[in-house]
Amino acid sequence: MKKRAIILNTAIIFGFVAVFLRLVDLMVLNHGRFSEKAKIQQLKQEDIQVRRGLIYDRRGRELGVNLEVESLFCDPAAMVSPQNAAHNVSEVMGKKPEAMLAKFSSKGRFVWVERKINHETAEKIKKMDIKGLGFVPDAKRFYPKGMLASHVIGAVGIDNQALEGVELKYNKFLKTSGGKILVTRDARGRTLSTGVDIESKGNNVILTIDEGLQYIVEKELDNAMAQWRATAATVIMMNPFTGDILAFANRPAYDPNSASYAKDFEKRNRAITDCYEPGSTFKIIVGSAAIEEAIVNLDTKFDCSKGAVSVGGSTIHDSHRNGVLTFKEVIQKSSNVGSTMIGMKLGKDRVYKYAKLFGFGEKTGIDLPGEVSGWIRPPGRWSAGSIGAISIGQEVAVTPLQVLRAYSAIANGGILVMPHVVSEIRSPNGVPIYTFSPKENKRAVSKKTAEIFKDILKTVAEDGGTGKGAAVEGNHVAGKTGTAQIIDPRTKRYSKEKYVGSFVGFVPADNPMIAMVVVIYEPKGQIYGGTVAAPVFKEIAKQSLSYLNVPREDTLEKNILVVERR
Amino acid sequence: MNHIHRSSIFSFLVVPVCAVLILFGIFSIVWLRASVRTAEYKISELDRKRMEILRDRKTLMAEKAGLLSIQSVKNKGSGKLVMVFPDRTKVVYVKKEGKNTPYKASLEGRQLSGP
Repeated sequence: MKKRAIILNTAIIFGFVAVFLRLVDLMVLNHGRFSEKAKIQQLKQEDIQVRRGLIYDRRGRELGVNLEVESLFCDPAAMVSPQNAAHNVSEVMGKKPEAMLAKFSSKGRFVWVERKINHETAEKIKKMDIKGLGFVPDAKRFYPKGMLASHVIGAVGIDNQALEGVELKYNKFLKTSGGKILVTRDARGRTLSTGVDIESKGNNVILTIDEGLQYIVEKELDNAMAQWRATAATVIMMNPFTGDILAFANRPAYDPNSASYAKDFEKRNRAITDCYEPGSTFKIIVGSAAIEEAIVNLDTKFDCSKGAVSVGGSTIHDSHRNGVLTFKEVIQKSSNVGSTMIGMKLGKDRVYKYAKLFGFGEKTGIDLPGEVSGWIRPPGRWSAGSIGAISIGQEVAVTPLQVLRAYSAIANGGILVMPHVVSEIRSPNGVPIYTFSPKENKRAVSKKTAEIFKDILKTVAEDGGTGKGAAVEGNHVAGKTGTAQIIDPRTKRYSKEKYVGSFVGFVPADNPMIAMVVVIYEPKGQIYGGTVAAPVFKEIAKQSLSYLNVPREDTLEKNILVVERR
Repeated sequence: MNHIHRSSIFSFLVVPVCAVLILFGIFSIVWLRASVRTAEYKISELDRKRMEILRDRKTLMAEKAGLLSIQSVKNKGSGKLVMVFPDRTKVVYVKKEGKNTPYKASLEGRQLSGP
């Protein structure tokens, strides 16, 4: 009995010693090796999901958001039956089985099958439990308003890389850095919470664009394109005092949700990347310069009765004979002959000086990619006839935005503002991290000159003016029409069929809320800015003033009592 | 004699009490660790649900943005509901300046929201 007890005790002691020694081996001698092995089994590295910041209009309406989707990949080496898998997956995804089979049979251990598929489709494929298929969480940029403001918002590529517009210009704010995070998992592969958010969000961008105004602009632009069968068109609407771009549209345009299918000419932001000869809208230069330099007064007369004037060997014509016109009438009736005479009085140095003061030949600085500066040659390189041509808006190349900025200077009392499309950037928590503040705004002309020229521009949209079609019921419009020939690339001469018709102005004239330029490229049937562009201005202005609750100026009744409160 | 008796009672109790305390300590540690692990699983599950809800929220936000777009509202309003945009010439603004003041109407609207 005692012997048995000794044996049992000895066995127990040896057992404990063995366990103790094994523990010493695990916890002391080979601790590092086993610890590393355990980490590899238990810890898993996961990507922090990167999400671009959102884009809003000036009233907080979403213009660019993210959708949570999944991307499907396959490991062809791990697939048991690629044929069956290809058949089943292609059926769910509505794709051709052959294309799917090619991916499932390709070499390598990682092949993208389909990027950014929606949750429902992903769930259906997951239920099939096909070996060798896997999913990665992904984000898809989605533009809920479709084509609306596509040239401002821009687009991103398949990997959410910025391609155009604000997406590109403000990419450093919108994108965010990713990185890795370590998560613990158990023997079944279930992950345990780390308590850390595995989503990193970019900053949100607030535009100056107003969705309502943008919609009005794009609707009327589509109507104009259809009516005049134009090759292209542009409208920009801006607050003339702050430079806030309220609406900005080009045609042709594209849907940023399918930007990869869009053609280059649809993606072209012609409002800032394409130059054209402005024609009569450029008469703002000679007109305001003449007032500023006190060369003329409103009643100074110009003999335009011949309907033509000869400058440096070339002849400049009016569309019809006007007789003797006052300075005011020269602008109102858009007389080429009168404007040339004013330009000749000013001289080429002063014409050039004021063109530069109004910002022509240099970028406006708008916060969109691809802006060009246009061009105007320095006076030393002008030909003998250039003074006449430039006075009526030929031999210069401008962008629609430059023209709008110049007229905004007249609207706001002579200040050249800086156009911009982003007003603020906020962190994901809503803390402002950037607010637009203009650099020092330059003065183009004195306030007095701007006021005088504004009064002249008002007459353009009245009876006898070329821009009567832009008149809005209830409010005065100030503006200017422009009709310019396009140079035919084949003949290198001015085309007799291709024109650019434009109207630029602001309303209400005395207290401007909006300044707007309308440019119609190659209209068919009619060519004059007053006919093709001014009515577009009118329609947009009428609806926009209503949208903005801008009061009519012709209402005499104020606070009429209609109901007695009981 | 009494002293010897008391000492033997103490020595008799100390072993089981220590054993109970050690067992209780071990159990507490194991129980605590198990509870933490269970909580981690629960949080992990809640995280997953949260991500699903956030995904749905993002989808719904995008759908809402599409449905509330001016174009969509205009199409619905002018189609089924036969509504039109306000004509400024026909709009009358009704105002009330104080609690006990009469209502006033004007053709000149207050500028509600300028650009």
